[in-house]
Amino acid sequence: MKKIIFFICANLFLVSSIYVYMPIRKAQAVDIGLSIYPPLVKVVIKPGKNITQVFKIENRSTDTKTLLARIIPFTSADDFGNPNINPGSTAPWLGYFSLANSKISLDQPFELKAGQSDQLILSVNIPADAPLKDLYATLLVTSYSNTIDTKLIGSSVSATIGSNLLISVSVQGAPPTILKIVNFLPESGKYLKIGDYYFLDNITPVFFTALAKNDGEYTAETKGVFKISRNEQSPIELQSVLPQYVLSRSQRRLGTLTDSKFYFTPSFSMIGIHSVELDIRSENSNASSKIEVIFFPGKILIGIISALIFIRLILRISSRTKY
Amino acid sequence: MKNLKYLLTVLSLVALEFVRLLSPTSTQAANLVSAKDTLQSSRISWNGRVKAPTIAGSAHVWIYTAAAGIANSITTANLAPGDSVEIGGTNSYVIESIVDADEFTLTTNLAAGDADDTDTIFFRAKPQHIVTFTTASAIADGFFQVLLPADATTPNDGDPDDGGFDFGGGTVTVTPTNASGYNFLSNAATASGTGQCDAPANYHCFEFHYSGVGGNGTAIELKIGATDGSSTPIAPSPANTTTGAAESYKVVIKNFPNAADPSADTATDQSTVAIGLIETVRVSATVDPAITFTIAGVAAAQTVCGTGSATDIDTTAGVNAPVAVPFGIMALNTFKTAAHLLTVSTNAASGYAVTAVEDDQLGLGGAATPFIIDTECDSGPCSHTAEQDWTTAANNPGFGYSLGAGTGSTMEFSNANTFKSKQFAATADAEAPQRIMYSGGVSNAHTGYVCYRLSIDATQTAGDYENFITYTATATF
Repeated sequence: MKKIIFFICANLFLVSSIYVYMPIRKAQAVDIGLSIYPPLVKVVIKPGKNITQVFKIENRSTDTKTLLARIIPFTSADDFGNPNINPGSTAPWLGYFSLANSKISLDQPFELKAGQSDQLILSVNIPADAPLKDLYATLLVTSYSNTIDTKLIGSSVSATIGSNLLISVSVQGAPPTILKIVNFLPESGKYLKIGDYYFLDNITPVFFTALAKNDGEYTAETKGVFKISRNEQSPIELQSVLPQYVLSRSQRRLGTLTDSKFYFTPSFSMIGIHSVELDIRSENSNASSKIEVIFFPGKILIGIISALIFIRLILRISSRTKY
Repeated sequence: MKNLKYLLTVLSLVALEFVRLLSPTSTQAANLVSAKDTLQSSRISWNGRVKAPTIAGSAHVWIYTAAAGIANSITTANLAPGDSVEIGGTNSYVIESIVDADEFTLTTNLAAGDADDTDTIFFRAKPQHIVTFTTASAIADGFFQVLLPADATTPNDGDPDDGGFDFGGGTVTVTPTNASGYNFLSNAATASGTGQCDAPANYHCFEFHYSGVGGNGTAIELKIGATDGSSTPIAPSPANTTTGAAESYKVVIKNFPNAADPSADTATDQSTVAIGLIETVRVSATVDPAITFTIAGVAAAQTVCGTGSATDIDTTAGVNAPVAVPFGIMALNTFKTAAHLLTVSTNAASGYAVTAVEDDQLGLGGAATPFIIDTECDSGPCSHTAEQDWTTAANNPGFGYSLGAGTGSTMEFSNANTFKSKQFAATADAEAPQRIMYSGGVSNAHTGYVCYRLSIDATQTAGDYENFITYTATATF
């Protein structure tokens, strides 16, 4: 008996030792890693002026990396604030940008040792006759392999990290924008629209979506509130709108701090006309939109009607059976 | 003769004393020694206004950044989380956080009527004053008077004033400490301009009457207000303050004999001390936004992109690992699969996106032609924008990728256990880089897998085929 217990204990110890000291690893420790700060820069600059912005880059790889810094124009890729960066794209205003570093230049490789960081001092010189508009560019820092494997059959992978630059060339500190709220709607499939009114069930959670559309020449900022109220009285629901940038001639999905939608759970007692409003206000843009919704006990009514129909059918069948 | 000289000398001295008595010199009030008014807190009050889009029912407050009247507070610089502020004239709220220079949030929502445009916002700083000094004369049964600077127009309305301390609209507690020769009997606190306290103008008056012989060099301590802010004068909210520069106010301390009229008589001893008031120092730590992107290799025999995606190639080792995908020698109509682990961390509020692009299709010796086509998948065609299943190697040659879920991030498409694949967008074909993983908020080490797959058929020209793939991580704007 003792031998069996000893055998079991020994095996348990052996198995646990294997788990502790020989963990199964799917991936090795990081071998290539880059970090950049800040990831987003928004500035307003007058023609004829220049600014300098320092970026800190860090090589988090396990060995020295050859890096390359470039400025690439970007456009808005979608309604969620993602940049569309095409490495091959160019623009005449790219000449406004240069690096003030003594040893690092744009489009020229430089080395950064493992675990070390360096500064890229980006200088933006706006000519006096530069057109008044927004410039959208990304400072890209790309890693390359330090050695060439001439026998490679496959792909070489490089990591690139970028910081987005939103530059407004303007003579005003808060250049004007034309911001609108469009497509302000309840969740698709959960409403019935009659005229200008949206009918919503009053016991079903619903979300509202909206886009901020910037028809102006400069970046706008979304700052404001989403509210639901009845009869112009105190709001029943209030949510802060997440402050975001809307590029010139683009649109952006509005949301809260936690989601790209405005969620709302009505209460059983909410019946009748309610106003759902979005109010955006910032230094250079104001926009608001309001829709009228009617909360009604749709599901409950359907349930009651169905029950009545069933009862009537049962009664009718019962009466026929009697006679 | 000798007696006459003595007589003349004595008469001269008497005459001199007589003249001195006829023309007495005025007595100068001595300075109270080491006089000071130590404030419990040197913080100034805050007097600002509500601005749209602040609305009732919300806990978010915007303030005006331009002064109007005595509403001088135009930034949130002197506010801090935890402060109790009165908004709209009646209700008090507690500040939860400072958003920026003109916004803050509350722990509770604003009540109706408290969010109207230009509604008042008050933070009342109520520091207790501890006035200490050393007496310069022994004045029996006298009293001390402390004069606190007051506003000229509304010195006792209970709201912060721009010109001096507000009396608070009620009573003020005064508490002297008995000392040798000073047994305090009665005290008085009178607001400026109330008849008993109108000279000198624009001062609140505090009197501390004592019995006893007094003393020269006796340390005295007089307290005005309470440490909990009850019955305590309200510190001013001065105009045109420079953040970080103290505002100076003069406090006068006097010692009178018992029957003196402090509004008309000259004090026996007197000192003027200066007190400095300044904005609160809000201690905060700013964490700079940054974005970090890493690529790590994945060992062989790992299934990270769904069923049937087990890796054949170890990308953690070898030349240029982990930034190479070394497929090596390929067998005809047979898959080879490799993978990389991508990790992104950012504290940017709007999140991040990672895109992928290849320079061109896998070309012989890296050249444009001949090349291994980008996959069209099984039922095809899949493309660089649309994914399709790719589980059969025979008759489906090409190069493509699938995605595998990691933690935190959202992958652009699901592998759905069937190695759903796309082609890499190619810059040679003027295709825009495609997003492969993203997040709409702050991310802490979000991960995702990219699985590469290659299959060739018998028509493929022999040789070494290569291309370059670039992954780009950027924060959303």
